[in-house]
Amino acid sequence: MKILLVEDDPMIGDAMAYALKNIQHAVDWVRDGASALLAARTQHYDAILLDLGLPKMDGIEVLRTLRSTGNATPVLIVSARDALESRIAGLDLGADDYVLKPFEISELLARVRAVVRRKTGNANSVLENGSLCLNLVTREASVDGVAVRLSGREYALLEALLIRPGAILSRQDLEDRVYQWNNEVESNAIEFLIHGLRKKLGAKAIKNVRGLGWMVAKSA
Amino acid sequence: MDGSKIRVSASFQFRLGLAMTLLLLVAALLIGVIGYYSTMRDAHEMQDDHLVDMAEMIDAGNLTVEKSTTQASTELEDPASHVVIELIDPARPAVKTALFPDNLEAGMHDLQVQQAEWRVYVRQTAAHQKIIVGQLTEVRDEIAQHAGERTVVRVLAIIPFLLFFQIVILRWMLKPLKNLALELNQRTADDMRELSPHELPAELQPFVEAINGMMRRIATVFDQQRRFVADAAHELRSPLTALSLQTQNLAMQEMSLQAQLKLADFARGIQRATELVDQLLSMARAQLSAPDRAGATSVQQAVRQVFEELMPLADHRGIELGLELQADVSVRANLADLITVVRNLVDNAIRYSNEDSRVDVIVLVSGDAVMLSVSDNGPGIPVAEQTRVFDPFYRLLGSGQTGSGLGLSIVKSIVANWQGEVVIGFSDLAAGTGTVVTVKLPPAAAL
Repeated sequence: MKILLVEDDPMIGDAMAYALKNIQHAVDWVRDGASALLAARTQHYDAILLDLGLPKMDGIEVLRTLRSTGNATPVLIVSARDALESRIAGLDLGADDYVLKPFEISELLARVRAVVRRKTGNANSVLENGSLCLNLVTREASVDGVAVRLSGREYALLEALLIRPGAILSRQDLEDRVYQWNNEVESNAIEFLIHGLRKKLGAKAIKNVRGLGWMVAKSA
Repeated sequence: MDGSKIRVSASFQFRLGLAMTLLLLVAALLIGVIGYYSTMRDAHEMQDDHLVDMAEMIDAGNLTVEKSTTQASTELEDPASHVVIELIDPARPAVKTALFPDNLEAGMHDLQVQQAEWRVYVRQTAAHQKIIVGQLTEVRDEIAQHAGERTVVRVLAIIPFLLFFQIVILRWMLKPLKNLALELNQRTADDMRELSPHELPAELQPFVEAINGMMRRIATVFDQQRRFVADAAHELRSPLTALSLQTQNLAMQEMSLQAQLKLADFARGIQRATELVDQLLSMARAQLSAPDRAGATSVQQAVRQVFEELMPLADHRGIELGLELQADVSVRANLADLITVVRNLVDNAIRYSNEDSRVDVIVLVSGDAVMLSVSDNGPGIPVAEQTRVFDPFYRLLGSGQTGSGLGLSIVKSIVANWQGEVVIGFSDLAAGTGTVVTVKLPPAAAL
C-alpha cells in the first residue's frame, strides 16, 4: 500500500515512517498541511494518516479541503486531541477513523487495513476471532480448522457477536438480529441457541455478562 | 463569623419589615393615646352641653317637671344618666329633701354632695327661679372613658390590616431581588450566562452589571484553562507517542531474551506515564467542565461500554463483572462523564478485588434518585482512610497497584459538577471487608 503520512513531530513521524516501511508499505512523509494537500492532489494514495495540529494549515482544514474537492482517499486522523468535540468534528468532515495518540503500531495497521477494505468495497468475507472462524459467504464455522455445522439461527447469532468481538449484546439486540420482527420469540429462545452454540464451539466461546448480555471475548 | 448576625443582616426584607412595623406601632400608640384623651374631653363637653340644654328646655317649658306644682323644690331623676333636676323657687319654702344648696350662682359647678362628686349647671330664670341640673361625676367619667376606649379599639383594629398590607407590599417590592437570587442559586457552578437586567428595579442594575462583568471574566479564565488543558494534552502525549513508537520499532529488532525482557519493562513504564497523563487531563477536564449540555444518557449503555473496555483486565484477574438493574434509567449527564465515573470505579474494583471473585455494578432507582454502586470483595479501605482516598494522588500503601491515585478524585469532581454525592464504605459491613462506592446520579425521566 502507498500511504501519505502527515505529521509535524519529527520523532513521531520518523518512528511511524520506519514502522510502515518495515512492513513493506510505501510511505511519503510531509510535515505541514499545505504540503499534505499538494501531495494528495498530485499522487494517488491508498490511505492518508493525518495529524491535526499542523503548521501552515490545520489538519481539520486539510480534511475539509480534500473532501470538498472530491478527493475520497481514506483518511485516518492520528491525533493527541482526545476531546469528544474534535473526534466528532473529524468524523463529521469525512475522516474514516480516529486514532488517539499514543497507539500500538499493530492497531494502527489493522485500522488502516479495515478502512481501506471498507472503501474498496470488498469487506472481509471471513470473520475470525482466535481459533473461531466464520465464513460469511458459505455460512460455515470452524474451530481450530475443524468445520462445525450451524443452524440458520445459530449462524445469525454467532455472526452478530463476531462482527464486533468484545462488544456486549443484550437479549433484545440478539433477538432483533436472529428473528424476523413479526415473529413471536419465546423468552428463553436466545439462551437455548447459546447453549447449542457452546456445545458445538466450546463452553468458553460465548461469554455471559451478568445483567447486560453476551459477548465473544476479543482475542489478543 | 457569627452566623445569626449574618442571617439577620442578610435579610433586607426582615429589617425593612421590622422598621416599618415598629414605626407603625409607635404611630398607633400615639394616635391611641391622643385619641383617648381628646375623645374623653369631647365627651365631657358634650355632657355639659346636655345639662345646659336640659335646663333651657325646662325654662322654656318644653320639658315640664310634673311634681313642681306641689313642692318648692322638685327632683327628677333619670336613672340611666343619673341626672337630677331641681327647681328652686324663692317664693316657696325650702324643701328639706333638696339635694343641692340653694345659694348657687348661675353657671357650671363641681360639687361634693353626700360623699359624691356632682357636675351641676344652674340657670337663673326670668321669674327669679333657679333650675339646677346635676349629674354624678362618676357616671360622666364612665361615659367619657367608654368613648375613649372605643376610639382606642378602632385604632387597634386597623393595625392587623396595616401589618398585612405592609407584608404584601414588601414582598411585592422585593420580588425581583428574590427571583434574582433564586436564578443564581439554581445555576450549576459553571453556568456563566449573563443575567438579564430587564424587569429589575433601577437600584439593582449596578449589581447585575457587576455580576455580569465578573462572570465574563471568570468565563474567560475558564476558556483559557480549557485551552491550556487541550494544549497540554497534545504536548504531553506527543513525546510519549514518539517514545512508545520507538520502543515498538525496537521490539521488532533481533535481540537477546534478556534485552527483550528489559524492553518490556521499559514499555510498561511508558504505558504507566501515558495512563497518568490521561488521568491528569481527565481530572483537569472534570474540574473545568464546560456548561452541561447533557440530555438524557442511558446508564445501561454507559455500563456496557465500560464493561466492554475493561473485560480484558477483568478476565486477566479472573473477575466476573455483573450489572444489577431493574429497568434501564436515563440520567442528566453526558455519556463521556458517566463513562469516566463508572470506568474509574469499576477499574478500581477490578484492581483491588481478590482474584477469581466478582465485581457488581448495582443501580437502584427510588423516586427520582438514581444510585449507582460498585462493589468488590477485596480487603476494603480502613475507615480512617475512607475520606482521604478522594484526595488527588492519594494511594493505599501496600496495595501493590500502580494507579495514578487520581481515579476517585476524578469521580468526585464529576459528581460534584452533577451536584451529586459519592459515598464509600465496606461491601461486607460485618466483616469490615470489601469496598462499595455509591454515586448519586443526576436524575432524569425513566427511558
